[in-house]
Amino acid sequence: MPYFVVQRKLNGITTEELTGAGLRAKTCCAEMTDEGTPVSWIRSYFLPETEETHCYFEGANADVIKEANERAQIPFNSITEVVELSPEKV
Amino acid sequence: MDLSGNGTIAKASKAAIARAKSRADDQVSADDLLIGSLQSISRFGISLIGPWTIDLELMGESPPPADTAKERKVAYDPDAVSVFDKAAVIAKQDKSKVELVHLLVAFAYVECQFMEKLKRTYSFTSTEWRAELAKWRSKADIGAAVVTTAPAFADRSLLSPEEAAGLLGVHTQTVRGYIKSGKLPAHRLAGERALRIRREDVFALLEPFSSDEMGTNTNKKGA
Repeated sequence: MPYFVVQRKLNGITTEELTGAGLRAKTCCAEMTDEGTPVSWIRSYFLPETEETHCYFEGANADVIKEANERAQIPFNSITEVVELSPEKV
Repeated sequence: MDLSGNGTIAKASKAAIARAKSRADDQVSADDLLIGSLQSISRFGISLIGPWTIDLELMGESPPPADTAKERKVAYDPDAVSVFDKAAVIAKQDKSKVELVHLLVAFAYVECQFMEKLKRTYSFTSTEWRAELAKWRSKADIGAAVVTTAPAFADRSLLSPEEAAGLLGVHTQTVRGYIKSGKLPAHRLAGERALRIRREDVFALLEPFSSDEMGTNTNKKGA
């Protein structure tokens, strides 16, 4: 399934709030998967300087990713499909 | 989906979401999360936390059937979001990944109707809730019964009615009866409903028994 990056700018967010958001993302993805719509949160990168967060999800399409983030109540600015490249693949 | 490491948080959230769905709500509340957390450690409808035997079934909180409202989409409400955030803060202070115990402690800090109901029903304060959970050191402690024998109270100078009953080997209602009749002095914590009894007052209830009394006047109630 394709990967997507969810970009957020979370002003004043604390590490604990990011952890809380991660937990909510995990549980909502689990629930949607149980319902028959597979989706998973892969990882996130937080940029402390700009307070941006890039969260990588795997799912059938952008709508599925949007729903997971809405259920988890984590605000976002954009959802874009990405192609992953990593050292072991080249 | 692998949620290893947050084993019972996964179960707790699943139960919370199921409860919200069965309530035909599109939001998962802090109550749902607390009840879901207790359900995730319950057996036969009972959740054991410290000295409290929380009877979820009696409180009308049996888990809904597995396939209830599966298609409903639910999102966490702001109070539920606060619980997760607070749990993360607590876990960080505990130098740990977020575990179910941190979630349960978080309910002492967030506005939650069911928590208030538990406090009233089982007569405990937020501090006592946190203190009991502080005893959970490993997964084995989760939901395990705390054996309330006299040595456990040895260092406690103030007891709850349940603990006083345990010490005397009588029913909690008996102790409440003594308090009501004035036989046993009790104190209310300022601003709370919980009662506290001094240990020495409990022991003052006991009279030395003389063997002379045995075999005579056995049908008379003690003065």
